[in-house]
Amino acid sequence: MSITLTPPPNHRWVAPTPKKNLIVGMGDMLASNDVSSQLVTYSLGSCVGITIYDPVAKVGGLLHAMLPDSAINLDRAAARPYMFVDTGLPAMFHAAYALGGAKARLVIKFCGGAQFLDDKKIFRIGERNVEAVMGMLARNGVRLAASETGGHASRTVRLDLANGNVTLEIPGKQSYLL
Amino acid sequence: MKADELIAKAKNLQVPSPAVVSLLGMLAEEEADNEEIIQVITRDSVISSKILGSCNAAVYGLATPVTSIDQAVLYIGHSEIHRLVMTAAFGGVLNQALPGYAIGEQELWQHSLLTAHVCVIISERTPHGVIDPAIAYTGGLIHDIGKNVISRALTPEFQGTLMELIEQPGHSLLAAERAVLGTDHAEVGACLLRKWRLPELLIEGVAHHHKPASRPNVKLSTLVHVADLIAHQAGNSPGIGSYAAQTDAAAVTALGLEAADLEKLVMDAYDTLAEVAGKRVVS
Ligand SMILES: [Fe+2]
Ligand SMILES: [Fe+2]
Repeated sequence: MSITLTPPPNHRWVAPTPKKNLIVGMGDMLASNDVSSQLVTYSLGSCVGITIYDPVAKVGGLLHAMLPDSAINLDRAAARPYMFVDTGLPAMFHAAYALGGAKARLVIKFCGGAQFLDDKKIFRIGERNVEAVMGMLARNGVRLAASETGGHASRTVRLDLANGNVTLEIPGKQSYLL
Repeated sequence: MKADELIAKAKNLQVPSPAVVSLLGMLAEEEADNEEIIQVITRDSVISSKILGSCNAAVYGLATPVTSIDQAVLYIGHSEIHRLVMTAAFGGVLNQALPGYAIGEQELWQHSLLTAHVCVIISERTPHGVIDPAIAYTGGLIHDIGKNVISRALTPEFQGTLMELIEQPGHSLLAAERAVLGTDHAEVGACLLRKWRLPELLIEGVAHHHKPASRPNVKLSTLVHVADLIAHQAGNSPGIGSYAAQTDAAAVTALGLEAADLEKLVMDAYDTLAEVAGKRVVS
């Protein structure tokens, strides 16, 4: 059987209402269950972006961490846990649980950690950030649904809170789904 | 030369005023006396009024508005006045959107300000007297000024080729620019400064910011090179190929820095972000 959709008389096509952007700054995190919004973080370079999403509770979180290890400055970590991977990741998971997210349902995606052309390996922040995330997820038995790390481009990340879609944008390119 | 050709074609570039040029000359020669600097600024009515406008903006939270440069110096200090002069002089070029690089309005500006701040942070930590903080600030601020000119030459077609090139392993943005246009943003920036008669010291800093010559001693380019890389990691890193940049280990060593220092610098740079974000170009 086929269905033909006939627009009602005087029908006007309406563009979908634009999503509200909830912007996540550097060294910051947001968790939300507002399905009319998307979480956005701009131009991740060596920083890392981790998104989590519970498709049943429709709860999501986005972390934009800058450095791998809070040991470099514990006071800063206490004041701003989201600057660091090791303190930011657990804090994001807890924020999602507080909104009704369940660990078993969380879909986790990961991007960022760009690197310079750095043969002598003097700026290893991007690489160390990626290692820190992978290590921490592995230790906690958490599986990644998708990831795109490394490379020499900065990435803008969007998490749609209605459906958990993660979109990446690289300067000069069309955006694409992760 | 290719760089001069592109510069000749670039219309509506805000040229720094004679006062700015002589001010930078004085700083480079290290013969600037604070009194003289104030005089030079005061004589330039456009810059002066921009400075006063900035001073009276909310960021400084002055109880009563300042009405003269003398007064402004009292309230916010010489080095801050210098920064305001430089941001007024170069902000018009640096805050523009650069579609050739897919850089949005204000994006290069934020990166430039952050690089300038990091230059000062590093210069204050390196052995005393190496590079004057005012010159360091200016060098950081204008290091990518050539991108404004290159961007205009990057047609969609050239932009496509540029992107293909930097996707090849080991290919830098600078090399790609050279392959596509016969020149790069560092060279064009240096030519622009030469045309504007800015001091050699600054020209060196811009010309070599991706390939600094750090021997026998630290130069402005050494400082700008490292500060630029730090700023990319601590702030926004706008545009095509922002990480397709070659790092120079010798520059890091020449500044007496180690891996752990670099991470701390990223953190310190991050701390200045809020300050940087408050600074708009006063027109
Ligand atoms: Fe550059
Ligand atoms: Fe730069």
